Amino acid sequence: MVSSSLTLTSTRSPKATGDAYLKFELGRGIQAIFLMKQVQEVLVLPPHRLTAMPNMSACLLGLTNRRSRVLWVMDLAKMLEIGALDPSPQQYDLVILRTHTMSVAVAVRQVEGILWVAPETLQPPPLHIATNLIPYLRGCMVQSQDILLALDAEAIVQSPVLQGH
Amino acid sequence: MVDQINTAKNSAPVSSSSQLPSIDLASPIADSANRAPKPNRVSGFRRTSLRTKATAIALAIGTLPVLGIGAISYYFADKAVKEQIVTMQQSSAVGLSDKLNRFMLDRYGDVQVLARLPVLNNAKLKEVISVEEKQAVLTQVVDTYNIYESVAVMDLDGNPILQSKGEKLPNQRDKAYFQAVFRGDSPYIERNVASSLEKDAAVYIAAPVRDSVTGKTIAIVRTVIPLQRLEDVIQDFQTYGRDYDVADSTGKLFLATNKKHLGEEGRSRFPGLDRLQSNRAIDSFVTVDPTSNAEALVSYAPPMNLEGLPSLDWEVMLASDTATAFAPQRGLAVTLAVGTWLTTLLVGAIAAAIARRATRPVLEATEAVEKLGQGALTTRIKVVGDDELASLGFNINQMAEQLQNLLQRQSDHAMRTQLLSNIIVNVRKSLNFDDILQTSVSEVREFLKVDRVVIYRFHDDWLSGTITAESVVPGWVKALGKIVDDPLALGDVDRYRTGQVWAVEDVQNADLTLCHCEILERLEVKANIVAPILRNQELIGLICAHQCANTRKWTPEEIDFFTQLATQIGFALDQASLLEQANESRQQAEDLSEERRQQKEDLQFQLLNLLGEVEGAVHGDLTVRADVTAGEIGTVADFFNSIVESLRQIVTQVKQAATQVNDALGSDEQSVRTLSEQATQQAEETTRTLNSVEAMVRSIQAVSDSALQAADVARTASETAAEGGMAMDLTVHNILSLRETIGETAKKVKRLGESSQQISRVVSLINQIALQTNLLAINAGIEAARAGEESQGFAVVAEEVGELAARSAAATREIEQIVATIQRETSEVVDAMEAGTTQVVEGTRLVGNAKQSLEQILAVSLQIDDLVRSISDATVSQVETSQAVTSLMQDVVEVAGRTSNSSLQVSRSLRQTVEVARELQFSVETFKVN
Repeated sequence: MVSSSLTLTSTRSPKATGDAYLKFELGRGIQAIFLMKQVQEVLVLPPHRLTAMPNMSACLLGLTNRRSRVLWVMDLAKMLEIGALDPSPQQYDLVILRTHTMSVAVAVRQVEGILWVAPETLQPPPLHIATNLIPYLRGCMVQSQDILLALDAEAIVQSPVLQGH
Repeated sequence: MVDQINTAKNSAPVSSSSQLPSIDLASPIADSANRAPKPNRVSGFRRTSLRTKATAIALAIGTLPVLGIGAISYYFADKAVKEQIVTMQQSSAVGLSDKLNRFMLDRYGDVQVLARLPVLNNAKLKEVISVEEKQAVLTQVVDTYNIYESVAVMDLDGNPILQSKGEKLPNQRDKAYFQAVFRGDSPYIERNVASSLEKDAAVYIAAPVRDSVTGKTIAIVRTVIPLQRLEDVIQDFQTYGRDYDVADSTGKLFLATNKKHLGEEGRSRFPGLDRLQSNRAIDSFVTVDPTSNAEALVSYAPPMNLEGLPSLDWEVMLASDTATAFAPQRGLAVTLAVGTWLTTLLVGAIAAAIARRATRPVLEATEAVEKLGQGALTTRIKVVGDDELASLGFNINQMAEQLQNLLQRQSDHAMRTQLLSNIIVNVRKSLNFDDILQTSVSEVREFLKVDRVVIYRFHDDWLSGTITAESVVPGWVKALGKIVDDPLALGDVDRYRTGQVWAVEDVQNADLTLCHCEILERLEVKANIVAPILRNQELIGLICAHQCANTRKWTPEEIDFFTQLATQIGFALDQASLLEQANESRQQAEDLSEERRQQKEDLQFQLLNLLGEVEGAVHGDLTVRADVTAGEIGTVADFFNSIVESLRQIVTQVKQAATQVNDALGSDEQSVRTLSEQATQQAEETTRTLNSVEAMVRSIQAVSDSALQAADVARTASETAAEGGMAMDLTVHNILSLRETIGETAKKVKRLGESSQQISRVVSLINQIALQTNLLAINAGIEAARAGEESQGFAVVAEEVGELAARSAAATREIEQIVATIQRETSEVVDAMEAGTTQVVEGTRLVGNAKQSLEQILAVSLQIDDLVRSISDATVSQVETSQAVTSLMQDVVEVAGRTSNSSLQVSRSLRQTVEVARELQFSVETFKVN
């Protein structure tokens, strides 16, 4: 029998310092983070709760109802042009972003958790990053050899895809 | 019976009771004891006389019941009286105890009344009334009751305050009663009186005096009762010679009739009392007073409890001397004994008198019978009354008379028999017919004392007869030789033949035929008696006795005698005739023998002549011939001639035959010898054949043994095959069960696979839950972040929850992997199982094949067994056949041997026959035939 690698290490992580970020997998192998203050909620949505809208950009998956409010659901990877979600997944992991102007739900590959980031570890985006991403980035940070993209929710909400209406 | 008794009365009138029987009454018992033949070994009771027995039984019947009743009544009366005496004494004891206790109860009450006197307990009155007046009250109490010695009142220190007149009392603090009342604060009676006997001999009773207002004890009043007063109370119980004794609670006596016992222990005074004391019941017993050594009846009453009186524990004993106490009982015994004995004596005397009276007639009868027994036949008994005893006496008398007559008749008969025998002896002396008759008539005449006796012989025609013998008294007509024509009727002849006698008492008056009557008249006969004479059962004549002088009455004895005499004459005549016949026979035999001798001599002569003529034949000359003469010898000669002729012819034939036999025998002998040799040869060859057959039998037996062994082997093989078949069956069975087991296992494994699928479903559910938890944790973190710095802790918790969810998700992934492994492995197991099932099926089929092969082997071995067995059977029958052949061969050998032997014998016989034939030829040649 293979002994389980699971162990309940209830040791508390060291006291978090800096700002809280929501970490998630944007596309395959692409990690990204949102500033927690820009996130209203994360949820899992079954596809039948999503109502597709015709004559809209391909990155807008449709509308959904959340707490008596209608939200746009947007494929974030597709919008940022760094991939796309599975065409017909069993469920969507949504992150509801909240800005001063409006709220929008972005579908990501998987929500991973909260990450505390000290402000000084946040670096400017590297040069090899696609230029179309630049407007949406607040910075980058390296964590255990992975590059985390710190996305700016405000910029996403203000993106032309949404503002086109 | 009645007639006899009446006759007895008539014939022997008894002169009433005035004439007592003349038997001596004084010593009947002694007489009978002496005279009676003593029967050996008879019990003493049976030997004693009837009178003694009757008297004894009467005495017993009369006296025993009286004695019995007396004894029983004495027993019951004695018991009742004794009980009554004991009960009375017990009730007295109880009464004494009761009286004593009640007396004490009164005194107990008195002292309590005294204690409540207002003079003593009323504080106001106490002060008003002076001490003198109080003392006067107490003195008055003493004087009035006349029971108390003194009454006194003490303060609580024991100092006397008041007292009745008398000596001044000292301080009473140390006294027992004072202490008891002082401590108990209640009335008190002194119970252990015996301890104070030597000092003052008194009973102390005391009670506390309580103040009428406060109820506190302020003083103690006490009274003293001398024991003398108690004795006065129970003085009455001293009557009837009884002694009373009263013991206190220590068991010592303080009251007693006899003062010297005071202070003694009650149980030492009366030994055995302790048993009653322990029972504590009213009872009585008899014991011996140790001081006076007299027996005493002691009644005991246990301590009594009366209401209102504390238990005194006083025991009362009442004793009385048994001599005095049981005096009435003894008087009763004497009265009963005297009365019983007097009654017994009276009844006994009456019974004896009655018995004596009743047995007297029986004794008289006994004596008379004894005398008769001794021969005094004239003895008679006096008969009185007509009861059974009288009848007995009468019968005894009659018996005696009959005995007397019988004796007389017997003596007469004996005399006559003697005479008859004398006469018979005389008659038998001669064997001559006439002598017999003559002797008879004379003897008869002499015996019967008649005038004439004749013998009359019948002629052949029965019509007349001759008187052939006579004896007559001289002076009367002689009848000898006279011929009497007295034809007898046929009935008369028959009657005489049976030997009947005919007696006539008086000829004149008798019913006679006329001619017979004439004959008798001619002979001057007055009375006659006639008897037949029989010779060889034939009637030949009559013997007649005539009484000529007067008529005569013939007694039966005389007739009987006459008859016997006639019979004896007949016997004598029989004898005489027998003798005559014998003489005649002898004469005839002598004549016959003379004649025979003459004839014999003639025959001898003729025979000699014949022998002379035929002498030549002796020497073989068969040509001789004899002269044939007349008579017997001539016939013999004729026969002889023909015999010789025949003989001559035979001899001639024999000669020829002998010659022929000789020739034939010569040729036969040769062939017989050849036969014998061949038979011998045959026997030898047969023996050789026999040996071969025996060898064959041996080989057949060997074959048989081998066949049997083969059969055994085949059978063993068959058994082994059968066992193998069974083992195969078992194997198949096991394989099948294995297959089932495998099938079930496969099923279970499949089910395990299904279960693991369920697990995987559950795990995916858990996974989803973990994801959602993670999301919720993130949401919580978001909320916390939004809330600001205050909810930093909450954010941390949410983060930790998120981590946990992530870990559980990882764990579920791991579980998913494990389950997948399980599913893969179970499917492998299922595959393996299926392969196993296939192999099992294959195995089953193989085993089936093996079993079929075994069955074939079994069948083959059975066939082999059968074949071998048939071979064995065949060999056995072969052996039997061979043995039969052998025995037949042996028979053939034997037969051949016998044939050989027989041939040899035949050969020898033939040689002997040749010899014999030669001898025959030689012998025959001696005969002269031509």
